[in-house]
Amino acid sequence: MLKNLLPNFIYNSIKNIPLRVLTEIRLRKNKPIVVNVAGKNVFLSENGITENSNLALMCCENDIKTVIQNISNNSLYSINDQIINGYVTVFGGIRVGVAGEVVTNNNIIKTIKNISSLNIRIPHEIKGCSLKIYDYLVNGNVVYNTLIISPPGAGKTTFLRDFAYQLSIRNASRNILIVDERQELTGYYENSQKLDVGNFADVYTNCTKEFAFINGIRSMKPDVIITDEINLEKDLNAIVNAITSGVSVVCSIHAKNIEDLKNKKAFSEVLNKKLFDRYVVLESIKNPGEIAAVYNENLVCVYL
Amino acid sequence: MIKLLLLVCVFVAIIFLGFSYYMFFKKKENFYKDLTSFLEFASNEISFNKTTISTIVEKYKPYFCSELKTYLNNKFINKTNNFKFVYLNEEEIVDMDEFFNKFGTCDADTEVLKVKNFSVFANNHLAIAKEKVAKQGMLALKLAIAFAFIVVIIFI
Repeated sequence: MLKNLLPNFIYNSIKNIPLRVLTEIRLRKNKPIVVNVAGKNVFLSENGITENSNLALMCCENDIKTVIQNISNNSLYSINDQIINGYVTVFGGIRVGVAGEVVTNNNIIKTIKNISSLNIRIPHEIKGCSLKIYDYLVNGNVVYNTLIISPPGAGKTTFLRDFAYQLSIRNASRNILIVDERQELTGYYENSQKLDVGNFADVYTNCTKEFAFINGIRSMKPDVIITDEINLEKDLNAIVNAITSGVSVVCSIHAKNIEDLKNKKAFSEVLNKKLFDRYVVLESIKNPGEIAAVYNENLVCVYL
Repeated sequence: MIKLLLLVCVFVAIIFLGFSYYMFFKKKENFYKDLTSFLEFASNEISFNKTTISTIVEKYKPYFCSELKTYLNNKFINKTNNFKFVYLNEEEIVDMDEFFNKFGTCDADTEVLKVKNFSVFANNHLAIAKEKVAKQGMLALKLAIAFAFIVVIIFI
């Protein structure tokens, strides 16, 4: 899938790196190409990876243009709405973060031009990565309202994807609604789903959580809603609405740990209302997706 | 007997020449008909679905009836630029390339506008092509038939 995305000289070098350990490719205009391999940033050289910046392959403006052309299929208008949000999701759930000069008109972002940096994030399917704590999150037919906490790149999406899959095969009577705003969870691209989330999942993509929660509950009658990267201030109403409607919510949020989460303004409301029954903290000290701890609704650690 | 056979051959050859001349104009007309329909289809797809160009070409494939199909297929699906137009002149080829080389480089609203502007070009050429079919094409065909009969009569 990377072959259709990258310029040939980058792909020929990337080929030497096992895909299961490659998580990011960073292209910055006129800078050495950086890849994240097994959680560590290193330079990309002609033969694979190197720590020596002198041996690194350089990225020029045309390489960035080539990637943009490839991800848009020579149709920039088809990805402009995504570029406005700062990322483009392409085939296989690969997410390309975009940075450059933001063009606004009357305070409305129209596009990003002169793109100078791209962050290509490669999704990974790790079947069984949620099984270690599955029984802490599911009790018989009850799926606890769960908040997955981790810093960026620590495996939240991989965990959620596997949890949806495991739920599908272990609690097959449950209808799962996946709200996949950035198409990362399911790898949904041009009418086909690339990553496996089981047989009982309905998927909303490319829409706000508020819209998907309200319409999803009304029309798809889910038992569980799974979604990635919530914003407590923006999405709290939708989550409260779902939980009070009898639908379990499993979602993730960016935070380093529970203490970090407590500093978020809206979290006190979440705690007071005891919205979530479980808090799962993920970390990436050795490998991404390591489960650091599981807390209950009173923030008492139940798994370490 | 040989003379009769030769006359039939000459008769068919003259009509074939006239018909070929007529078909040259007809194919050009078909090309522009194809182009205007494709542009209308593309404009709708871009404004309502923001479909990529390669998908638009794929979707429209069953409706193509001219060399436009190969041209667009090469350009947007096979990504090669080795197509040679048979029925267009140099100026028309330059205009075609100029439009399709820049197709897909702007936001949806601008693309729709660009497609609409290019449709005007396509419609103008369609009108010219239709006129040529009606005048030069048909004239060639009629002249060929008449000339073929004259030749046959003379030699009989």
